[in-house]
Parts: sequence; structure tokens; C-alpha cells
Amino acid sequence: MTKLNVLNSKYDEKYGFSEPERFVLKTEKGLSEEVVRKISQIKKEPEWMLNIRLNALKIFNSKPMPEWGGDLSGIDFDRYTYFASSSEKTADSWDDVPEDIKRTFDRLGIPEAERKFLGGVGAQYESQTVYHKLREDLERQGVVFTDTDSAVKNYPDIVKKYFSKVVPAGDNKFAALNTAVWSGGSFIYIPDGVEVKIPLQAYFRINARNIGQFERTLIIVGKGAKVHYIEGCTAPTYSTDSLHAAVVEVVALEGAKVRYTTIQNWSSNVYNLVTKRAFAYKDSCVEWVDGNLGSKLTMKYPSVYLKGDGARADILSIAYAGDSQHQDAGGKVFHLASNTQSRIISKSISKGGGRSSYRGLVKVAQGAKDCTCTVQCDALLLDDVSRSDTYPSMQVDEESATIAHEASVGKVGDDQIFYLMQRGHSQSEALALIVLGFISDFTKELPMEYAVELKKLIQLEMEGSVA
Amino acid sequence: MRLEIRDLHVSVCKKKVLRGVNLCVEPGEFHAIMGPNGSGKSTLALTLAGHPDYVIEKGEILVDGESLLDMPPHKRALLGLFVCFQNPAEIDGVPLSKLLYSSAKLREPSLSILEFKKRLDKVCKTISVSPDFLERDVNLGFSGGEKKRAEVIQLLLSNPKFAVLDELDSGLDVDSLSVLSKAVNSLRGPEFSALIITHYDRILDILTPDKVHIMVDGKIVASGDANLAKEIESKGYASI
Amino acid sequence: MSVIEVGAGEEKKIVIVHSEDSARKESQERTIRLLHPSASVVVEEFFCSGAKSNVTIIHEAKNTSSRIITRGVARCGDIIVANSRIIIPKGSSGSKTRVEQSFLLLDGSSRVRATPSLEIEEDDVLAGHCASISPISEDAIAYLASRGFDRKVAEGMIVEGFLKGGAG
Repeated sequence: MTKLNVLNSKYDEKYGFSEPERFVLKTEKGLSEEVVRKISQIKKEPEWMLNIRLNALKIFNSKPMPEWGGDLSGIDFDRYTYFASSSEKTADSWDDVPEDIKRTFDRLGIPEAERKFLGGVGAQYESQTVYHKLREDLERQGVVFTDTDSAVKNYPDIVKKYFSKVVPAGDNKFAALNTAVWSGGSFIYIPDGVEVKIPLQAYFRINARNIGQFERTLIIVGKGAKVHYIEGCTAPTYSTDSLHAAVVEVVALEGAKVRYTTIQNWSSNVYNLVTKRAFAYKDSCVEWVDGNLGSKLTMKYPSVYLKGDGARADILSIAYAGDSQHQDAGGKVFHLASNTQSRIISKSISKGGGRSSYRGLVKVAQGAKDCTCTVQCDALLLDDVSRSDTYPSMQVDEESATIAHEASVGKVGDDQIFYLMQRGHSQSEALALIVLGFISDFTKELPMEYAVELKKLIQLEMEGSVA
Repeated sequence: MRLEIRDLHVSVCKKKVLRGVNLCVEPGEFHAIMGPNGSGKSTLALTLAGHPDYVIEKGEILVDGESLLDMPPHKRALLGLFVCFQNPAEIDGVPLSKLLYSSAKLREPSLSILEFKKRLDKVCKTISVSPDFLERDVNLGFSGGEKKRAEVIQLLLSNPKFAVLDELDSGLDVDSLSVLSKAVNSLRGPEFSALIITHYDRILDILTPDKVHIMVDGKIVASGDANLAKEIESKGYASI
Repeated sequence: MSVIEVGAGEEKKIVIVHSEDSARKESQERTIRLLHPSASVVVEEFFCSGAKSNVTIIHEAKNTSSRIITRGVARCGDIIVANSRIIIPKGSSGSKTRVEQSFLLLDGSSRVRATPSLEIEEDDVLAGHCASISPISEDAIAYLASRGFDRKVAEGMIVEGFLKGGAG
């Protein structure tokens, strides 16, 4: 077991769910119509949002659990608390964090760990001035960057227009659950023609948590506009909530360019079931950069519906599955218009009994002329107790389409390790170099600080794997 | 065959490449077209072949007085127009020998396989290829030299009246160039004409041209006799 | 559903042809078990018309090898469903597998559905697959046209060559 996993379990045992002294609003355990009404009431939502929630609850109740993907048998819907405002899922102050966890962050070389660990009120430390300036710039350009709860009240027209249109409640059981009990998440609206130069990060939001159980994120990018949104960070995210069912809806209008980067590193007790989808209109470009490092089970397939001619999708996904982890990830692209292009690159690593599965779908509708798609999924098995699966699906109904797919599964070559050791590297350093090379297509797309953190994390993991 | 090109304007992928080409090749003549990279030489070859990506915006192409403009590529071929491509397409699963026999039968439906084999053997000796070469799939994994050999074998067996050679010499060693050029030369006669597209004048030592044209930016900017080629070789295109 | 077992050191070749005559509505299921060390199988599957096929290969011993070569041409409303599933459980070290699928889709009324899956629990393996779905190359059509073949004949030659090309 790696050091990080050991830390995870110790954290659960010792710290669990801490009840801070201040008043916490929460619903009783389990899911029912009263719970949903209470959530809406606590938030003081307009009627139209309450109706969306209630309708979604009906759909949730009518849908069976999916029979494919990971093992969902450990989920007991009656056990969870579906809403708790200001609940402290993490320690209240840096002082309360156990010593060995602090040391991990030191080893990872993350000086801002404090800020990230405390869950997102990023304005507390030295970034305060940067943060304020960013906010002023954004406001001047007409960019809206707030949490979804506030958006329902302050921008109801926009929310009504797009909410649940990209991912309807009926899409799948967990999307229905999220639509019924959602809370928190980011709301971003970029007006036509505006190019947001600095990536927007979840922890720049002023007053909401960035670790949500049922986060609902809605991003609308106007014509010719451009934005890069980063959700999460590579540092381990401790959570006692073991069900996270988030929904992300992205709309890229004509000529827009959107990149959404996530690196998920949930503690190993979490079921991470996420529906992420984008609608890409004419000549727009949507990029999902999706890193899955943590959780007990992740089921996540970022997808793009290419609805306008000339639109483009790029899905870059990495998954790392360690002991007792199952990463079931991939991507889906639907070519619904002509001259659309897509690319899916997936790299997965399995180690210490972990299981990494790539699940992908490329569909070309009849009439979507001259579309091209390439898929490349490679998997690395670092030992003989781990598992790798690949389930790529191609469905083509249009004769002018060109679809190509390549996959490989293998292990790190002994000759590669030997060569690097002969050049002076230790065995674990050699392994780390090779694994980093394997995921280089992904890391080169990350902002520098994330790439650095990810690199350190991999190095740590590889140290743990060599006897 | 007499080829006449009048004020030809051609675009590829919405980009204008040929901007008013004028050319006339009489039966029995060999003409050379030289020019810097990107001047449109290959575009001319592919336009004559009738490749769908090459759109004729304006102008005329006449072969023995007949317009080629609405004529589909295979009909042009059956008239006797043969284009040796610079980058011929690969045809997976179709052996070269099969393509050669089928092409021959198109032109002579009553051709027997024995008679065809005789002709094929003769050509293979001239081009120096082994029988194994003929069993490989058309152009699949062929080296540059092998591709040119395959093109010339097809040329020799197709009873051509007009050959367009698109950079036959590129990527060929001295000996191969000699063998292939001599083979093309053997077709010379009062009814046979050729358009030789090249960068260098070496091929023209064997395939001596009656006229040499220089193409720059999609237009023929100079024409002359074989000496023009020598001039380019020593002074470069900038001297024009 | 048919189950084929391959024994020690045995090299089996299985050819499956889906044609108009044999086309059936229901899905054809085949499972091949590589039972003993060094067993190997090569499956050549050709779709000359619509059909539904699932081929599963289980590597149940060390140093086993499998190869699936699938080629299909879909036209005139054909629906091709070509699924394969390769399973290499823990312990079957030294095993190799390769799946190659290529399809030509000739017109707008036809469909191709392909899912080549891999489930691997052993790290000492070489596993890979590649798949492609594409129209007939216009360059190839233009090339054959320049040799005198009209479009229909050219398509026929290319399709025939495509299916034969799979025969390695």
C-alpha cells in the first residue's frame, strides 16, 4: 500500500466527520420528496427549480442501477445525508491536520497546500491580491463566475435556458440524483468575443465550497469566446462523503473554445460517479483534460456532442488505479454535423491490484459528412496483480466518415528499466521516468503547477512500488 | 495524340494553383515542364488525369480536338492518356499482376492470358523486375524506385498515345533512371507524345525534349528548346 | 453459441465468412479457449453482408497467442456488428494478442458497429488492437480511373482487394 492510501484510512479512523461548533443546516438521512423540498426551501429557490428537482427525483426512483461498469453494490442510498450546509468535510484550520498528512504535502512540495486543503476559500493567503485583480478584470469584461446556487437567483434566465438541457435528468440514474439534490458547483458565463486569459479555478470562487457531494457546474461560452476552467487539484482530497455524483454541463456556442481540466484525487472510500457533457456548436472546440487518480470507484466518460459543422472535440484522459481502486473512465464523441473532428487519447496505469478500464464510444450519425476521429488508448500494467480493460465502441452510420482506433496493453520493459539504470537512475526513478513519459501527452496540457504536482505524485507512487 | 491546353485555371481545396496555362504538344513531340517546388507542375498532371480534388475554374483541355472537361477519368485513360503519378495510391489486396492483366483486357477484351504473359515478360526484362515484384499489392509498401517501376510497367502495357510523367526521376538512382527513361523512349513515334515534368535536366539527356517550358506560380513563364533546360541547370530559376 | 478448444502447442485457424447465404438475424457467438501452454489461434472473419458476431477468446494458459483479423464491407443497408472480447486472466504470462478490424462503409444506408474489447489481468503480455472504419479511398478510385476502370469496376476491385488483403 502506498503512503497516501495509508494516510487516507488513518484520516477516516481518527478524524471522520467532525462537528464544528457553529450551526449546521442539514436534512435527515435518506432521500425522499420531503428532503428535496427542504433542500430547495433552505436555498430559497424559485418554484421552477423546485419542480426540476422533484421531477428528477421521480426519474431517479424509476431507474434501475446500471449493470455495467464498476461494482456499485456498496452504495446504499438510504445511508447518505443529501444536504449539509457549511459541513466541514475537511479540517477547519491547518493546525487540526495530522502531522503525517502535513509531511506528505511537504514531500509533494506544495506550499499552497494549506489553502487547497481547506477547501477553496482561496482568498485567505498571499493570492489575495491576485485574486481580487482577477475578479475586477472579469467583471469589466462581463464574465460571470460564481457558484450555481447564486446563479439561480441572480441569472435565472440564463440558468433556465441551459440547466439540464445538456444532461437531462433522464440521462442516467446518477444524473437524476444530482438534478434532485444538487448543491454548489461553478456557474460560468462568458459573453460573445471575450477571451479569458487566465484559467478560472474552482477555488477562486468567493463563497462556496469546491468539494461538493452533488456539485452542478454549468459553463456557457459565447460566440468566439474562450475560457479554460480548472476543477480540483492533484493534492489528495479527503472526504467522508462516500458518494459524489456531480454533473457538468458545457455549452460552446459558435466559434467558442473551451477547455475543462480536472484532476481528481479523492480518498479511497469515495464512489465518484460523474456525468460531464458538452454541446459544441459550429466551428467551436471543446477539450476535456481529465485526470483520475483517486477514489474507490470512478465512473466518468466526458463527452462531446458535435452539433455544428466544423466543430472539434479533444478528450485527453489519464487514469491511475492503485490498490483496491477501479477507474472506469474514457470518453464519448457524437458526430452529429459535417466536417467535425475528434480525438480521444487515453492512458491508464494499473498497479498493486488496481483496475483501470477504458470505456469509449464514437458515434457518427448518418448525414454527418466527412467526419474524422482517432482514438488511442494505451494501458500500462505495473505488476501481475492488476487489471486493465478496454471497451472501445464505434458506431458509424455515415459512409464518408473515417474512424481509426488503436490500443495497446503491456508492461514496462525490463530492458527500458535496465537502460535507465545504466544511465544512473535508481529502479524507482527509472520506473517514474517511464510512467511520466507514458502520460506525457496529458501532462504537457496541464498548467505548470499541476504538471509539477502530478509529477511528484507519480514519483511518490513509484517509490512505494519498488521493494 | 495532340494535347492542347488553353488558359487553364485550376484550384485545389479552394486554393488557386494554375493561373492560365497555355500549352500545345503535337503528335510525336516530347515536351518538358520544369519549375520550382509549388509552381503547379503536379497539379497540371493530376488535372489532366481528372482527379476530383482538382477543380477547373476556367479554360480548356483538348485532346485531338476533343474537350476533356466533361470526360470522366477512366474514359480519358481509354483514349490513350496515361499519367505516371509521383505518389500513386496504394491498393491493398490487389496484386500488381492482376491490375496489369485487367487493364490490358479493358483495352483488348479478347486478349488471351498467354499473349498477355508474353508481353509482360518482355516488359519485365526491359525494366529489370523479378516475377515476385508482380505479386505484391499495388504500391503497398513500395520504395520510391519500386513505385516508379510499377508506373512504367503499366505505361508500357497500356498502348499509350500520350504519357504525362510526373517527376519520374525523383528518388531514382542513376541506373534505374537510365533503365526507365530508355523504356519510355522506346515508345517514341509519330503518334506518341509525352509531357515530362521534372526538376533536373538529367532525365532529359535520354528523353530529349522538343520543347522546354518553365512554370512558375501556376503559369508558363518561358519556353524554348532543350538548351533552356541547360540554362536553368546552370543559372537556376531566378535567372528567368 | 460454439465453443472451440485449442490444446497444447496447437495452432488453430478459424475462418468465418458472413455472406448473403449465411446471413442470419440473430447474433453468432463463438468462444475459443486456449487451454494449454503455447496454444494459438488465428481467426479471420469476413463480413460480405450484414451480420452480428461476437468472438470471445480466453487465454487460459501461459504463452498462448491469438490474432483476430476482421474485414467487412457494408453496403445496401447492411448492418455489421462485429464484437470481440479477449480475456487474459492472471497467470497466463507470456501471452500475446492482436485484434485488427477494418471496415469499408459504402453508402449512407449501411451501418457498422464495432467493439473490440480487452480484459487483461496479467502484466507479462503483449496486447493490442486497431480498428478502422472508412469510405473507399477516392485516391484509389482516381488511380484506377486513370488506368481506364470506371467507378463501379474500380470499387469492385478495391472491395475485393480489401477483403483478400485480410487473408494475410
